[in-house]
Amino acid sequence: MSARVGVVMFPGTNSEDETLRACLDAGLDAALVHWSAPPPVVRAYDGYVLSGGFSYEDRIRAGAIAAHHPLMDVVIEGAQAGKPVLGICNGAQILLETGLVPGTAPVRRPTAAFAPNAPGGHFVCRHVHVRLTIEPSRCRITASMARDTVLPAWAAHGEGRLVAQDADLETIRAGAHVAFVYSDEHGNPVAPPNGSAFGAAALTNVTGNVLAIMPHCERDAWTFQRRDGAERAAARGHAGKILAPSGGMALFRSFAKAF
Amino acid sequence: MRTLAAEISLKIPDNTADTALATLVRLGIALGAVRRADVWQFTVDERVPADEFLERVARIETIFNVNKHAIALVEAEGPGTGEVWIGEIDESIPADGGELMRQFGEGVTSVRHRTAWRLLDRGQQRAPAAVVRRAAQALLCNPAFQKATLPADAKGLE
Repeated sequence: MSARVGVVMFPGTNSEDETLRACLDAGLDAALVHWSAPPPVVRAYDGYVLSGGFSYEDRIRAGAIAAHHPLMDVVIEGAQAGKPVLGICNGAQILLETGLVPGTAPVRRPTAAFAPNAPGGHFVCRHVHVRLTIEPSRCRITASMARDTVLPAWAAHGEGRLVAQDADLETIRAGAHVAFVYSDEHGNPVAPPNGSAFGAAALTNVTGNVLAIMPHCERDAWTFQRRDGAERAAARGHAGKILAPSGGMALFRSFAKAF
Repeated sequence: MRTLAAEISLKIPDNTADTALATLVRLGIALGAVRRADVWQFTVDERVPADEFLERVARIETIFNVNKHAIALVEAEGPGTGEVWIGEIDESIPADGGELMRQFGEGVTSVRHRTAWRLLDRGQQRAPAAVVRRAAQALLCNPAFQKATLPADAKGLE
């Protein structure tokens, strides 16, 4: 029986449909969870995905208001009980604002952030690759991936630069919290598009059941989303090919095996 | 060299301030209103007469729109009672600082940004220092990359 996963949306979330579809295609029993859903309804899910967008218009800071929303009380409770939680882009920012990731301090006492990009604070929108840098088993959501897995994704954010105080950065490094770094398609290191510390694209928590990833793997989950002209061109006119999964789906397949 | 500062605030409803108020009240912090402004501190030389400063800042279209913003000179060097100023710890990465300086014109050597939050209690009086500090810790400041400057009467609380 498939795990029941809630794809959480707040006012301003904009990636819930493709995130939901990726979860369904990965075999999960997934459904959208509106921010006004009663706590017992939210609590009934086996895990959660916080999808991307601009929750509450990024008021105060990206993810700050959603992190204090009562719905997140239930998500935090679930994460602390061991439920898998995946945050993508704004969802990742929310997870850092709650302190669930890296999870080295009490909740709602953030020790890290995805801060405005550097240099210049400009929004970045580009296709990227990210490489798994931890032992896959370090994080339940990556546990079924091969070592050094490279995922394609779209970076689309103005606040994706991992920052923390020096001591907290050392804790993040020493605790193997950096799950993915920006790379080329072969897994070689590249400069991050946002000035992120360690070139980090994703962090996991202490217990490995929560993953906060900035680039959108759900935007490179089917061939019709590929920027690769040749691959798309070859698939054109073939419904089976153009609708076939692409590399980003690996994240959701692995997430589905975390339950 | 000297520092001149401009405060730019919305003269239309400020949804961010309203959302901050609602969230802080939900967190148990007794407040009646929240006001927000951007404080832009320019380090300038003698080529920038004080009486031209606000006019030059108001020409920077990326931070000032006459249809929705009010602008005023900031006399104080820091927050007053009931206020907290939030800025980034690492000011070597100014958000669009270079572009702002270009638009400001000659005579400016640096620009710093703060978000000034003014908290009022339910009687519309400026909130006491302990409340301001609590609001900064709970929501307004992420210490991973931001610093909160509190008014002089709150120093003992830091």
